[in-house]
Amino acid sequence: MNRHAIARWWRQVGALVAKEWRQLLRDRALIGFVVFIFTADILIAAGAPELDLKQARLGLIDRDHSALSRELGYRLRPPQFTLLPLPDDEALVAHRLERGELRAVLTIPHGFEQSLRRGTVPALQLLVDASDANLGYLSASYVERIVQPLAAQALQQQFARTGASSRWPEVRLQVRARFNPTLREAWYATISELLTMITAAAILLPAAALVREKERGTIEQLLVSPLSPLQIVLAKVLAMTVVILLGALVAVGGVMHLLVGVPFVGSAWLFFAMVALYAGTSSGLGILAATFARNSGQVGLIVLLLVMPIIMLSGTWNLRESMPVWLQRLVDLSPLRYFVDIAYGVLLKGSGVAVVLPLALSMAALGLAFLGLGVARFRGQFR
Amino acid sequence: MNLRRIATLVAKELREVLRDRLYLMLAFLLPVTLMFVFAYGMTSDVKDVGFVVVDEDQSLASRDYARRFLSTRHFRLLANEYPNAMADQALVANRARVVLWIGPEFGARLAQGRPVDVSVQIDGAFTASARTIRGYVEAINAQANAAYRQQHAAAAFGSRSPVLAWIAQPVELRPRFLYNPELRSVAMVAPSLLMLVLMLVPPLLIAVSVVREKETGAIFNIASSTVTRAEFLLGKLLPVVAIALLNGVLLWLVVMFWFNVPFRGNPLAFALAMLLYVLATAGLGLLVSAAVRTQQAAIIITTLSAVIASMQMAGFFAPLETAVPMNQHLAWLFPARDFLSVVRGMYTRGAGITAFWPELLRLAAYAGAVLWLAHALFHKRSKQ
Repeated sequence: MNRHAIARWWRQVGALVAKEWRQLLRDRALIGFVVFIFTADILIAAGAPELDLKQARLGLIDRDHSALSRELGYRLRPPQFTLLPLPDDEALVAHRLERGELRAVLTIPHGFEQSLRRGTVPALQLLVDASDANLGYLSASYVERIVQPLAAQALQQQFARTGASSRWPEVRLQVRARFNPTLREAWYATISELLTMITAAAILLPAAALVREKERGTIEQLLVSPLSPLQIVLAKVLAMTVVILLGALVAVGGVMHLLVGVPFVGSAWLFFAMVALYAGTSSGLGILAATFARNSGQVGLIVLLLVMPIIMLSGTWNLRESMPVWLQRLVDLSPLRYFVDIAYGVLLKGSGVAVVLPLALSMAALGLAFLGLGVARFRGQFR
Repeated sequence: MNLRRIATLVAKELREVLRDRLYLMLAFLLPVTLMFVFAYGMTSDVKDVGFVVVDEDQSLASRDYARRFLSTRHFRLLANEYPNAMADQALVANRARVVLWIGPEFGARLAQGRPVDVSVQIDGAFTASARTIRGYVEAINAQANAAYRQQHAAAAFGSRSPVLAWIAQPVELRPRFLYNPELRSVAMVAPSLLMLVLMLVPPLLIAVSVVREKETGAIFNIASSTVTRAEFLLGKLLPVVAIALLNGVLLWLVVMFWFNVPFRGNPLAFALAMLLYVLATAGLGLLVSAAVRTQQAAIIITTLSAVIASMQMAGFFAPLETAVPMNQHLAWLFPARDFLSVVRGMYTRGAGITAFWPELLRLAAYAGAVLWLAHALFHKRSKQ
C-alpha cells in the first residue's frame, strides 16, 4: 500500500468516526446520560457510604450499675457508636435486632466491677447482628478495643494500690495509611465510580452500536461500500475512545480534582494515555461481544454477563488476591484488573512508567486479542 | 381494559422470547452466573494479602512478632523481594498492601518490660480493604501484647500464679454473632445479590422489548389497533415479571442449597416482597423505555442506573447511614434500599412480615407510582 492509499484508508475511518459521533449526539437521552455518568454521578459517588461504623446503634443492658459500668457506657459513644440504654427485656431486644435497628447489644452482668477488682475475669455478653458479616466483625472489634483499655486501667489502679510494679511490656502500633492518610472515602469511591462508568460505557456503547447496524441491516450498506470490516470496527472503537477520553478529562480534571479534591500525584499524560488504551481495549471486548449477538436484547444480556463480573471482581470492590485461584485466573482476562492498578497507581501513588509499563503491555495484548478476534468473527459473519 | 387482548399480547411476547433461544438462555443463565461469580469473588475475607517485613532488630523476639502476622492465612510474606530501603516501593508497585517496620531495639525493650513502637504502613488507596486490614493487624497485635504481658507476669509472679490469666485479658468479651455465627462472608453477600440481580435484569428485559418495537416501527401496528396503552404495557410487564420471579426463585434456591445460607423467614412473606420489588424494578424499565428512542440508550441507561442504585444507594457494601445526607435522600429514588433491608431482615434474620410492613408498604407504593408514571408518560406514537 502506498502513502496515498493509507491516507485514504484513514480518511474513510475518519468519516465513519464522524458518523458515529453524529449518531451519538442525535440520541438525546443517550448523550444526556453519558454526560451524567462523567459529572453528576461522580459527585454522587463522592458522598458514598463507607465500610466503617459511624454512630452504629449499640444497645446497653446494665445490670451492674457500678461506677465502672457507667464509665464503660460513657466510652461507647460517637463516632463509632450511639448508645441506647435498653430495659432488660429479651422480647424487645430480639424484635429490634430483627428489624435491624440495633447493630449489637452489650450486657454488663451483675457484679462486673466487683469481680474485676477481686481478680476474677468477668465476662461481658455482646450480641451482634452478623447478617452483615463485615459490620458484625467491626462492632465486636471496636467494643473490644474500648473495653480492654478500660479494664487495663482499672487493673493498673489495683496494682498501684497493692504496691506492685505496674510496668508492662507493650508493642504500640503506629498505623499509617499511605496514599490516603485519613482514609477519605471520596478519593477511593470517585475513582472506583469513574472506572466502573468507563468500563460500562466502553463495552456497551460500541457493542450496542454494532448490533444496531446488524439489526437494521445498515451494516450491509457499509459492507458493499469500499470499506473493510476492520475500518468499520476501528471507527466504532476510535469514536468511543475519544468520547470516553473527553468524559474522563471532565470527570478527573473538573469534578474529582477541583470539586472533590482528589489528588493527582502522577503524570497527567501517562494517566490519560492509559485511559485511552483502556477505553480502546474495552471497546474491543464490546465489539467481540457484539459478534455473538443478533439483536439488542441479546447484546444487552451478553454485555451484562461480561461487564458486571469485570466491574465487581477486578479489584475495586474486593481484595483480588483473596479470591479463589480459579477466579483469579479468570479475572486476569479482565482489562480492568490492570487498569485498576494503573489508575489508582498514577492518581494516588504517583506510579511512574516503570510500574505502569508491564501492566499496560498486558492490557494492550488483551485489547489486540479482543479486537483481532472481533474483526475476524465479524468478517466471517458478513462474507 | 380487555383481558383477552392482554392475554393475546402476553402470548405474543412469550412466543417472541421462546423463539429467540439465545436470549431465553441468557435471561436465565445471566442471573445464576452472576450469583455464582459474585458469591465466590466478592468475599470480604482477608486472605493472602502481600506483606513486607523490615526487621532492623533481627532478634528472636522480633522474628516471633512478625511470625504472629505471617502464620495467619490473612498475610503472605514477600520475602527478600524488597530490601529494607526499598520496602515502601512494594506498596507503590501494588505488590504488597502492608509494610511492617520493626526498629532496632524491639527485643531489648520488650525484655525490660518497656513499651516499644512498631510502625505499620497500609495501602490506603483502597479504603475499605485498608480498614479491614488495619482491623486484623490491630487484633493480632493485641493478642501479641496479651502474650507478652503474660510472659512478663510469669517471670514476676511465677508461672502458676492465678494472676496470669487476669493480666493477659482482664475482661472477657463474649461476642455472640447472631444469624451468621461463623461470620461467613457468603451468608451476607449471596442473599443480598437477589437485590442486585433483580435490579439489573427486569428493567433491561422490559426496556429493550418496548424500545425494540419503537425502533423497528412495530409499535405502529399497536398504534393503529384498538389496544390501549395500559394493555400494551401490561402485555410487556407480565412476561418480564414472570421471568424475573422465576429467576428470583431459582436464585433463592441456589443461595439456600448451594451456598447453604439458611432461610429463616416466612417464604410467603418473602415471595410477596420479591413480587413487589420486581414490579417496581420492571416499572423503572418501563419508565426508561418511555424516555428513550434507541435500544442502545435503553440498554446503557437501565444497566448503569441499576449499577448506581444497587451499589451506591442500597447499603450493599457499606451501611447507608455512613453516606452523606444528600445520598441518603437520593437513595429513596430506588426500591433497592427497602428490598435490601427486607432481604437481610426476612431472609437472614428471620423476621416476620409484621416487622417489615413499612418496607413492604413502601415497595408497593413505589411499584404503583412508577407504573402509573410510566403509563402516563408512554405514548403509542412518538411525538417527533
